[in-house]
Amino acid sequence: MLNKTTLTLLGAAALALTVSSAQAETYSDTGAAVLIWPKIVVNDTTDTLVQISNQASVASMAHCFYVNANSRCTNTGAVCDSSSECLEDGFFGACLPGWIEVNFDVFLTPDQPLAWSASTGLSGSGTPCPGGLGAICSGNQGTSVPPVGETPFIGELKCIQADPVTRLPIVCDGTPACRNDLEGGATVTEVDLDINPMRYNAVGLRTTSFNNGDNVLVIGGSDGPEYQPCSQVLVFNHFFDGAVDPVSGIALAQSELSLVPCTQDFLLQQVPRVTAQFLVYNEFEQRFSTSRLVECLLDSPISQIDTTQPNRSIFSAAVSGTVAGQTRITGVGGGLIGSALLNFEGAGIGRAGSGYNLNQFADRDDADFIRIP
Amino acid sequence: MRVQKRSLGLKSLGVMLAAMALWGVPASADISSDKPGSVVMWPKVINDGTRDTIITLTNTSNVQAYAHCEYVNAAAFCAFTGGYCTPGAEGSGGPGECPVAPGNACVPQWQSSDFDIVLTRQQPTFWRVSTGRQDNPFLPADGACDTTMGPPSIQSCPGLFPTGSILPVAPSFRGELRCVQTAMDGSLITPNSLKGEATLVSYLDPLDVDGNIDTSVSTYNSINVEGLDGPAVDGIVRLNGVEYSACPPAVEVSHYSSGANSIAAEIDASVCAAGVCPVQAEITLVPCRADFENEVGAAWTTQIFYFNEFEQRNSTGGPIDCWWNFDLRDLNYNPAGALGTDFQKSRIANGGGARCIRGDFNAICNSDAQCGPGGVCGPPTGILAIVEEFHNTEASLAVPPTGTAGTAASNGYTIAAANGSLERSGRCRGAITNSCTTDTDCPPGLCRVSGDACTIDLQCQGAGDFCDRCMNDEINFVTIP
Repeated sequence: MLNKTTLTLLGAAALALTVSSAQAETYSDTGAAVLIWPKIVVNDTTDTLVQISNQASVASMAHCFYVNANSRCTNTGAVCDSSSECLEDGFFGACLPGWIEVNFDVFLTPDQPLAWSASTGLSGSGTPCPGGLGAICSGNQGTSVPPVGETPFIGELKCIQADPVTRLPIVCDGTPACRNDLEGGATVTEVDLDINPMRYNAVGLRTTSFNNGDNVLVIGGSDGPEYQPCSQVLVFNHFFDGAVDPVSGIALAQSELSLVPCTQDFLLQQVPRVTAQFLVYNEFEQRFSTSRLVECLLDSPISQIDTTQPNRSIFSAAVSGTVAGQTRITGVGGGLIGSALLNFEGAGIGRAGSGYNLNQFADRDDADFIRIP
Repeated sequence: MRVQKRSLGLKSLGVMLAAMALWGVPASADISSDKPGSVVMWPKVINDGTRDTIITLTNTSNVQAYAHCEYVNAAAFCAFTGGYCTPGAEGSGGPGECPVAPGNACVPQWQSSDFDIVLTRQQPTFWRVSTGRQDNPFLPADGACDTTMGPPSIQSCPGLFPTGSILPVAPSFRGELRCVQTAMDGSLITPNSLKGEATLVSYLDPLDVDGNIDTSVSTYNSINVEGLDGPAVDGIVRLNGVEYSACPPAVEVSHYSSGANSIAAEIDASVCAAGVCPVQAEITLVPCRADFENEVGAAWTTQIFYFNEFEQRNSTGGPIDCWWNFDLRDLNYNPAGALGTDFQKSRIANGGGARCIRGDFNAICNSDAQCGPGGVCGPPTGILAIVEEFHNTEASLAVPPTGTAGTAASNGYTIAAANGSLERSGRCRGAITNSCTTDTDCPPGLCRVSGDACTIDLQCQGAGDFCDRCMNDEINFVTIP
């Protein structure tokens, strides 16, 4: 029979065998050195307000990259959602995902919040602190945020806290401490008789105690990581598509998921590819699974992740049977970062939505990289 | 099932250490909104006749999970005229101010109610706070809930619901929800497997003008406390960076300035009144500390510094009792029109000093003696925050309104201390102005209940007693009688 002493010894032995953390190290609610906004949308009825803020009482600079992930017709070059839109001269082209990067700089004054519309950008005299005669403040000189490259636009934004001279990450070795001064968010705003704002926090990568300041950002891994690792698993709580809104009893839920790879090569302009594996749990503890290639950006209603017929999707209430679900997303061949939108809509109800962040679980063992020009 | 309190013993210590091996010891610790934890908090929960809230909670582990939950109704009402109000809004002209009348003060409350919940492995679940949820295994699996008409209305939904039932909240509820992870017997454990969200839903059809039910939806992530070494005393969650993560030193939220023009006006100005769609923002603050055993919310003095895009800093704040939800206009924030800046951020911390956490609860103190017989002077509480914006249209501004404002909520950001720590430091018992991070930073302490001198918890053998040295925030749950 186990006595108290034996139990204590067993517990101490167990402590000696304690494994490392299950908590992931990416953050959407803390200052960071790299910020990722996984969903930037611009079209006739939608714009995205991008917010970035400097947590520090000294000036900070962010070197940023818009990634245009519009799919295009191979035959017409037009922006498309599916091959059915690529008809020319009686023949259908293919609708293939694209990846076009544009970079720019944002200079933030101490403790400054800054925001811009993705469709119009921000530069020059449009910045709050342009300096010069008559200006209230200075410090935003050099900021030039372009409007996104085209309308419609779907893509992501990445900002890296950088040295204003080199435009590369700030060299640090712990003395002084490596900086994590950036926080951010985005509000995807639809206007269609009403205003439908959907806000999420940017996902942040915090520094380790070392950065050599070169153009390769090492994220996680065991060989000189410069930033905390991307998470091994993204945990996504959602309503199944087509589930009835529990409040109105009329509107139907529709969720959208945006995923981008942790690894990006802006120098060689190589399109990152990661396979996302989805484990879907409903409230009956039943499990379904699927996988999907994330090529630059996956932005999709969840019931169209695994099929073109939403009512047959494992993400639909028609298949899963319950209102709420949990989906665990694992990246194979690289880490993933994401955000989510929830909409309730229906005849006589209109459409109302919200944005929120995914949870993260465990660290990736393998490193991810961001290579910048 | 209530949270079980037992005196600390070797058996508990061994079980705790074994549990640590199962679930791991984290490499870093903090309170976050995007990682599972052992304490889950939803700062803004509303059921007030115009808004309802859907709470989602998920067990992210492969073993069954149990949790003990506490609702806190902190709705404040005008003493004479009735109606909701915001403490601290007096004289502001903001929407939370009570009509000016003799004695018509804004009176807050702090009323808790508890329940327990069971989740099977990897199970997501949800409930609507106005109806609660009742298990009904005979419901068809069609993705729709069934609501019995009340009052009170009770809702059943397809899916396993081993909890049995969760009762609805009061019809006039504005407050928060906290859940702490427990073992089956109610003792606190720290496997860090819980996460959640809250979805605030408004359905208004004020005039049925166009046959549509106008809607607005906001979702935010729950704030989750990571369990570390686990509790040394069952029933008390000590947010001290040793047993559970400590609260952040300060928090920050970004928002539109009051009355700033929404980006929506650039998309389609026809929905705006004269091309202007003014945005208003609400900030919700909850104290980290809570005493559910003695039914006492934590009082604090809010210190808010808000920064605009022109590098200008202003301040506001004031004394508050427990939960606080305010419109920026209630605190006389500089509006967008005054300075021409559309965006601000608010940095929020507890600007007050120590308060009694035993004895004369919430009294300002510098020593135990100021808290009365058996009193304990404890550190000021930490604060957590979320923000919600309301994008107004011509319809929502009409008198009476013919539509609802679009809403969007988001979580706040942790502001690190000067030393880079994401966790706030504690204060020493008996030397309350001295900061500390561990017990060894402090002189020998005193037992919380008996007042005997001590250096470790084992020296305080009375029921529910433990040693106070480096004190920090605590969540004190109800004990088994």
